[in-house]
Amino acid sequence: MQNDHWKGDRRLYCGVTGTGKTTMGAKEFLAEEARWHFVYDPEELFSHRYGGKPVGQAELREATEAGGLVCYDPSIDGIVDYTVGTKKEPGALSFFCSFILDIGKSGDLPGRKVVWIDELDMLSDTRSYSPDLTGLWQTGRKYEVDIFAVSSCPASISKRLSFNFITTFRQSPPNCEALAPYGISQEEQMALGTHGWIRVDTRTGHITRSKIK
Amino acid sequence: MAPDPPVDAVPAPVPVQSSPQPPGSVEPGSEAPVAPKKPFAERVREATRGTYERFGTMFRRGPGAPRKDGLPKVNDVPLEAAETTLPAGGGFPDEPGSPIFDYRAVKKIWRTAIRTIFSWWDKADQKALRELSGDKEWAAEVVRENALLDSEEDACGEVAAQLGAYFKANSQMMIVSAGVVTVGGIFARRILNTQDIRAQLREKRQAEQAARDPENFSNAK
Repeated sequence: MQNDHWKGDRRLYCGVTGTGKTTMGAKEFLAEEARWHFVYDPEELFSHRYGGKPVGQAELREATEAGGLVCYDPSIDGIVDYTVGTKKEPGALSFFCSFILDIGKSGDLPGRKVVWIDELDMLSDTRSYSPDLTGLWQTGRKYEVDIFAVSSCPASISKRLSFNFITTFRQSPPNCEALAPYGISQEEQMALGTHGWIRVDTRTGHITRSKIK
Repeated sequence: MAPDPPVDAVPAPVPVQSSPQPPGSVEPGSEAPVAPKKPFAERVREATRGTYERFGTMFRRGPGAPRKDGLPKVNDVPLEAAETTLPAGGGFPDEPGSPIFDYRAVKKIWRTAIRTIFSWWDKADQKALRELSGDKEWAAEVVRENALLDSEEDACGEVAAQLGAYFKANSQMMIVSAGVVTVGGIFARRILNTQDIRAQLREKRQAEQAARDPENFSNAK
């Protein structure tokens, strides 16, 4: 069922390790009202920290039927490739994206789906093209799919993946350049404290500065 | 030039012009059939079938390492059409001699289980009575009187098997719970019987006490 009026929400939390990007992102992700909270959770990092039962491919359907928090862990099925993989051999992330898009495309399963992907730069890169990930990113909006992603290296994320909100914590110099077009200077990014953050609304250019309490 | 149609040809039925109905309105007496809504699980399964087929996830993996040749193991259960590919085609075979549900086997297993439970219980009971009363023969007699009846053994197995066959969907649970209920019933019967045994034991003690110390016993009384 398509919902053309749905304002897609694509958020990115980036910063160097230990600045609190995952903590803040997960807090906001879990606070969102949605029918499903899909979590891409290799090695059960999210479920170990925030609860939820990690499931493999076979149990993903049953977890989806139950609704709420759905944590998919590819390591349960012994899948080694956590990334989007290639066109010929798609990885676990491709399966996950395809699964959510199928749920969205089905007219019988309406409702907002929020997706959590941690360490996005490790799972995709700027060179390879994954139809499943970009498909979820671009067409997911019509199917009420919103995505929250975390990355310590935003410069390595594919340019096909756009964001509405970018929340940056303290950055390393190569990644500061990736966020400079949004009006956040390198000096400002590097000068952020341990838990200070800057959020840019890429649609309006509005910038918010704050700190994790 | 197109040939003329034959004279006796049946004219095509002219569609009856009906007045346009506002959307959503239904003519009286001709209600539009409403398709029954599928169960949620079925909707999820149908929606995601394509992904599972594309990624080749056709089995729910059973315990153990996957085979080196990639073929499914014996304990891998197919995700799609799981019911039809299972032994007995997903149905519940309650006829005698079925490999899935053996009526006689259930009866036999439960009868054996009941015997084992109560044999252990009787031994413990006899020991406790012997220690309390100090009379070995009396304790043995009480336990013999209170022993498990053949009819109880049969009833337990029968109830478990009958309920298992009747509630096909949760047969295992029903077999277990039926057995547990029957065991509870036997215990209840025994507890009622024990009222007499307790009275006997009380009298026995009083008699012993009276024999040991008749004066104090009469005063205390």
